[in-house]
Amino acid sequence: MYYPDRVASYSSWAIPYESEALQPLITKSVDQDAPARVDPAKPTETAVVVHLRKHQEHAKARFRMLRRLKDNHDGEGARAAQPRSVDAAIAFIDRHFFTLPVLATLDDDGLAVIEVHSGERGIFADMTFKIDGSVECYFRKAGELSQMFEGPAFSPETKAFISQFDVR
Amino acid sequence: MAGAWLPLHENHAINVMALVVTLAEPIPAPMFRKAFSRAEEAALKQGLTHRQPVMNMIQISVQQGIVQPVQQVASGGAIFSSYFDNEMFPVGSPQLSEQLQIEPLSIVYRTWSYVSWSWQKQRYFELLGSFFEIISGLVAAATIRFEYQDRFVYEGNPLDADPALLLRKGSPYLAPHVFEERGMWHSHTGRFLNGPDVSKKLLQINVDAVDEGEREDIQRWVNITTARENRYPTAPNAAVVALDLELIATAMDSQHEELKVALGAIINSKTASQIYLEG
Repeated sequence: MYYPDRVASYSSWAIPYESEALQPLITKSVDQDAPARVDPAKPTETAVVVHLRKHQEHAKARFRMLRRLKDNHDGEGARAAQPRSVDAAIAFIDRHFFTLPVLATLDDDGLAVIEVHSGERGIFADMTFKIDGSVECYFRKAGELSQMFEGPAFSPETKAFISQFDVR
Repeated sequence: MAGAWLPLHENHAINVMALVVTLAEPIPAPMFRKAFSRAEEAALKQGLTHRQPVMNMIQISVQQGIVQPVQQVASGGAIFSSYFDNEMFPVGSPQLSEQLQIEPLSIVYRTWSYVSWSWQKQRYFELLGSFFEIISGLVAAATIRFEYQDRFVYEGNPLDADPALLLRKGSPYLAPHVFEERGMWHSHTGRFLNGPDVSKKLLQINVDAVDEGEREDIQRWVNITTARENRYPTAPNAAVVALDLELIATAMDSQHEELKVALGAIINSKTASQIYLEG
């Protein structure tokens, strides 16, 4: 259980403060549903995550920057960034691993758009995150018909559609 | 040449955020089972699909002078976790993304995938709204606690890592000596804030400069843990505060805002601007 009175406890010099609330809790894998690959002795290494996801981290950072844009930020009447849309795009990037570089941008309505393309593979795709939590996907591969998909952003159907072009 | 402090992410530094609700007494078993099943359903639907029971440690004396080894017993609660995509990591090193820990006396949510406050707040209630609806008004709150850990790394020789390039000189939350240090150091403090209601409002600021890595790869990190905790009356005969969604939402909003202000008083303006804390 969580013991609030123990949160502030720390033992000796050079041991950083480790809040109980902030520590991942990994118990021994006593049930079969638990992930077998969990090593209880291994701490979470966020810095490693950041490094391995570098281009995705950059796209998220760009979305955080774009999120601050106001109405008419381009001088041509573009709408301000829609925070809900941008947040959904950031969360989406966090939950998927793209092998191709992802680009972050906004459309004229302030909606977040993730673009993926590879000249080498003749692939272009984009995903527009709507305010209602859905996503509109477009995918084109050289020599093939374009495909469109619309559905809840965080759904198996969306993941299946985008797995055609990149996400594993 | 002087190096520079960089946030953990390109333009934000939050490593982990945690929200902890504790209760004055355990949730009665029938109510807990019902609420737990709702939370379980929400967790699985929201992608926290790794489920593990929470085990409490107990020791049982079997005869005088001899104590059995520590044993584990199920608390009745569980932990639901999600991980970053498997593809990135070798076997044996999963990286947690979110975690929900539900027990009869405490409910803890942690995320290593912070998006924005409005996003996290909505996500919290997507995961736990139906749980709290069932116990709403029927159990007494003990604490509501909100924590952030922000991390910064020094790009350069750790022995040159000047805290003044990251932190705000004269900050009421930092021990003055840290600005003279080039080694590792701790600065931990806390106080109770005044408030209009019956809860005691604790603010804790724990800042650590630590070296991580091996040999030539050692890096100096500064971890800034900021926490705000509301402590509600739990003594016998005290007027308890019933836990409900509004109590949690109100506490979370004010705690989040206060922690932003506190972080702004710890890091310098340049760093605050770098992580969009200001404006």
